[in-house]
Amino acid sequence: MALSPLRRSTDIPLDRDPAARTLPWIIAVMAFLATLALAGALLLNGVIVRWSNSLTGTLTIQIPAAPTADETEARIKRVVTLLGSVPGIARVRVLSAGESTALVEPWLGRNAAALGLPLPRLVDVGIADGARVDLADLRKRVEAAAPGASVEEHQKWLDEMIGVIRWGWRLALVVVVLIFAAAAMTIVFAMRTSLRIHRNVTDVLHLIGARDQYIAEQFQRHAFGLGLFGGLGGAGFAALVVIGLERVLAKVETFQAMHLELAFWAWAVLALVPLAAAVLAAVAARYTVLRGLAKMLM
Amino acid sequence: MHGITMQGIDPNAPVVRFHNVGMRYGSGPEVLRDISFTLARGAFCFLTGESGAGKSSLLRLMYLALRPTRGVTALFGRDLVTVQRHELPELRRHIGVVFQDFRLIDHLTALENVALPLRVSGAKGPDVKKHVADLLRWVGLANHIESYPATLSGGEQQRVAIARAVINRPSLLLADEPTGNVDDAMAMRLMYLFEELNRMGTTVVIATHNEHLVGKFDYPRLLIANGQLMQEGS
Repeated sequence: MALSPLRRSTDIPLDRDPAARTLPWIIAVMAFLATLALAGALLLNGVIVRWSNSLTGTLTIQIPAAPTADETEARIKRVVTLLGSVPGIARVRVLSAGESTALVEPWLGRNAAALGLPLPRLVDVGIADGARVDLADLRKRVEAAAPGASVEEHQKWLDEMIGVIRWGWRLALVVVVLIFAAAAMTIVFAMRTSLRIHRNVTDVLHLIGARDQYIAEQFQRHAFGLGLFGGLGGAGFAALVVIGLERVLAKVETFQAMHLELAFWAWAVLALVPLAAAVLAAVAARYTVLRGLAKMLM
Repeated sequence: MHGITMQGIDPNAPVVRFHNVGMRYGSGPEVLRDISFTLARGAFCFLTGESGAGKSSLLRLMYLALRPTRGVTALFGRDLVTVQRHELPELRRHIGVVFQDFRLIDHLTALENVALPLRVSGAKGPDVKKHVADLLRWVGLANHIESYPATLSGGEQQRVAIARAVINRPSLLLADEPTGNVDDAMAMRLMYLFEELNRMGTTVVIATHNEHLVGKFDYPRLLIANGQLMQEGS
């Protein structure tokens, strides 16, 4: 016969609670939503960082097609010559007609070249680090060299896009916080119910000299287990959804340029969601039970 | 015993001192009125009275489940008015209680139920197991050490409850009808256990209806009627 008076992890039959059956599912749903929202926030953060690094300090000059190809080439040459004389411009690259056509393929299809549309030619201009270019003056000179040509400043567009994406990123984080707050409230209600159900046992434990902390630790350990179990299930399923979504988006040309995929460190952050759910459950349980016990007995 | 210290407890003070104690539940009438008595260390007494006289309420005050609505109550020299909530567990660990309804924890075995007071006070080690099993054998439950309360008879549950109350060798033992569900032979055996504890310094209070049992022992009695103490022993 095994004699092990200290073998049980809880003196209170918490695993028989209705809450023990439903709470992991609720936490799983919360963890699923939180992981998706967090993955969204991390994806948007990645886009912000990539765009900031790749597009800062560049301009694009758009030269409309002239009536003849020779005239178009002559205009491009004049613009390139002009750019070579502007202080602060470090790099000038004329995109070929084929490259210009490729840029509109996502909208016009793979046969865009065959349509014979008078597509404008593009000149990619790199500005030296720390240099400042008088854009108003450059616009006037480019217009003079190639009538109808325009100077696209990426920084302004980029700032606006990053502003929008940053809002999306913040919104996703707010959603994560709200989900965790809702999870905490759910755990609080579940633990209050559980404490009422086990009032007889907690009274006995008190009367034989158990401290509130001793009782709270049992609820806390139980809630940690439920939180971890639910969190692993919910976050694991969400991770599969994110992987599937990444694969689908990778096949859509419109999103290919955005490189919508999570970095390794972002996956590491997502892996913390089950642990966060477990810790949240444990802390909420401890807080609730200690407050509840303080109102019991004398 | 088992790492329990007597912090904040005066060994020379009376174990129980009640002076003009009154108690009511909520806004109801007083169920205890002007209760005054003192129990010295090593006292043994019976608490007797009709059903509803106030025996259980008086025991509840002594095992710190309730606070009086008036009067002075002191345990081990500590005035309970000044005792903070966080100090109560330490006091309770010196009190063994046999509840009339046993209050065993259903999902724990007899062994685990009896070990509970040791567990909550942090005792560990192989001696604990042996000590608990020995005590269960002593109360005649050698074959029920791993049994759950639901599978035990009333008398067996009562003996588990008694073992749980005495496992810590408490300074004060309060027993509410501890022999109500056992035969005369076992009742006498349990009384000898209480006497043995008493000889080792435990103050024992036994609440009972059993005049036959009370008559067999020459111990003083606290007779309570209509919430008032009619006869004081010390």
